[in-house]
Amino acid sequence: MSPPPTGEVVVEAREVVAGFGANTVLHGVNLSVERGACVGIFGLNGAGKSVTMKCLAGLVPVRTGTIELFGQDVTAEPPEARVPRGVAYLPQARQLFPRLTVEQNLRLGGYVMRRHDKARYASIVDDVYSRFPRLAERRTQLAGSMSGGEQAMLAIGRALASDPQILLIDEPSAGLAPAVMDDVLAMLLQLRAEGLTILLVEQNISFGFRLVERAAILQRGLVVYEGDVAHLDTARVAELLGVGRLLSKQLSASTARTTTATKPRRTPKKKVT
Amino acid sequence: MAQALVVGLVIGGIYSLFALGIVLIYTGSGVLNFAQAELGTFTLFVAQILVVEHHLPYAVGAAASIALALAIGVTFERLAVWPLLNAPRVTVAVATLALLALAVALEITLFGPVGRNLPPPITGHSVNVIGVFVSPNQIASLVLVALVAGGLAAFFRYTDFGLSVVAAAQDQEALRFLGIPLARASMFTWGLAAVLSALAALLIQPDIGVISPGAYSGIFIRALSAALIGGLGSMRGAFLGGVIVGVGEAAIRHATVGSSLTGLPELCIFAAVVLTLVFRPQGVFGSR
Ligand SMILES: Nc1ncnc2c1ncn2[C@@H]1O[C@H](COP(=O)(O)OP(=O)(O)OP(=O)(O)O)[C@@H](O)[C@H]1O
Ligand SMILES: [Mg+2]
Repeated sequence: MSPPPTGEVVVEAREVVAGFGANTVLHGVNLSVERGACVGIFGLNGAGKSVTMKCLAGLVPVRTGTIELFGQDVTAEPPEARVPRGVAYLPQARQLFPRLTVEQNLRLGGYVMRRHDKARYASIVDDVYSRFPRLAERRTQLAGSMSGGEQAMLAIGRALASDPQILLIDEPSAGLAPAVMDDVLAMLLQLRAEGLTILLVEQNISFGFRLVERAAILQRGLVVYEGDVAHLDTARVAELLGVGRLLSKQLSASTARTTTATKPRRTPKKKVT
Repeated sequence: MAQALVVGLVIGGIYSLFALGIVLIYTGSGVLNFAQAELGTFTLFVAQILVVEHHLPYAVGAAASIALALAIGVTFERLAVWPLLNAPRVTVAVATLALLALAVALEITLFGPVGRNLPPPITGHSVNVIGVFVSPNQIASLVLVALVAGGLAAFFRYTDFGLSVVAAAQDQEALRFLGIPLARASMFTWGLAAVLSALAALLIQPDIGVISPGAYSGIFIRALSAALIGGLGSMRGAFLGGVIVGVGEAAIRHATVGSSLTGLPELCIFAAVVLTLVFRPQGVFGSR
């Protein structure tokens, strides 16, 4: 079990409206993630999940509504102002720098911190390498030449290199073989157990529901359902996600696993100051 | 022949600087900068006026022309490149054509259409290095090009800012969400390319002689050829391509001197570019 959420709100979206040109994609999204919580956004293709994440990261401008980080209005702030506040965003396409090495990708992930505290970066990158020994073995390999699974790990590592307060992660399971997917899931469960706040977008329902404790369902740019995974209305969720009755059984199975699984409690990661 | 090769190496090194500017801007902003060589011509005029008409030391004229190039490069980036960040790349390419036209027009109105002369920075006799005569200017040029190449390679590799400039050429959005200011990388790229243009123009001037408006259009073609042969996406390729074009040109010119085949070097450069594009479109050093 992760440490219980403290009640402090890390990120909050209020009535967020956003879109591209004449096409309004988000029609008033409300969402709130408490410190230490692990929340999932689910929904069909094109529902606006990735756009929601980009609004939170600052990459897509918000037309009306507000976004707050730790109680401060950051709606007008560009992404480079949100990173120092502790936001790490991991996009659906991962967007590694393909012609840079593993080490260089991590260095850029820690760019902001390295400007004033190289020693802290060194300890954080050591931590990343100990989480992903595969990356440690491949420090000098070009990111673009690595396997899909290794790239998925590097993308998580690069996001962790900034020592974030909240991880915004868009479809980490996409394109991964089942075995690798399990590795990534274990890694994210570990981070959750250490108390990192996580907002996740997922297509893969069994992956997502094994990870999150709260789920929001997005439909055509609106949050149409929200609830604790432990007390999910599985029939309604299955209907909203367009999965049939058979899959709804799978859904109950995976949510049951989440709620019964007991993970060793870890002390939250100490902040090196 | 050895003499021709040394001359080719010196000129090739200078082509490399122009080519590197083209590669930097192509990878960083996704456009061909058609003004890459002409910017250097323009600032060379300024150096010439300061040194010849105002009798200032060569170093002052050179520093002024490099500083002016930096200012022009950064200003152009702020006014024409950054606001067009999300515009089609051809729009930005047309803006560089406009800069080229503006530079030539200003040269004619401000400095006149008549060619000017700038005495070489270092006078003195050529020295004999194992049978090849090398002038002090050529030695200085080779040393400077090597220093620039080595310095930039170290800068892009070992400094975080240099690395972010390289990364910006691969994924601008990723740079932003990692918290790295993209604007600085973009300004730096255009500023550096402009400085390289001014420096290369100063270095190649003793070999060209007369400075006149548009005189360096032929050099732009060679620099572009060098960049295409080495790979438009590769800085190492720019250097290799520059040397290939410079040495190849000098060797062919040497072999055909006195014959009627005066256009052969240009023809061979063109053929080399076409062959590269057909058989290895990413260039000798380019990746995919
Ligand atoms: N850069 C963009 N320009 C224009 N329209 C966009 C852009 N990005 C997203 N959209 C539109 O916004 C809508 C929502 O897209 P979004 O990527 O958020 O979907 P999603 O819920 O993440 O879907 P998926 O599960 O397929 O990733 C889509 O209709 C898409 O076409
Ligand atoms: Mg998406």
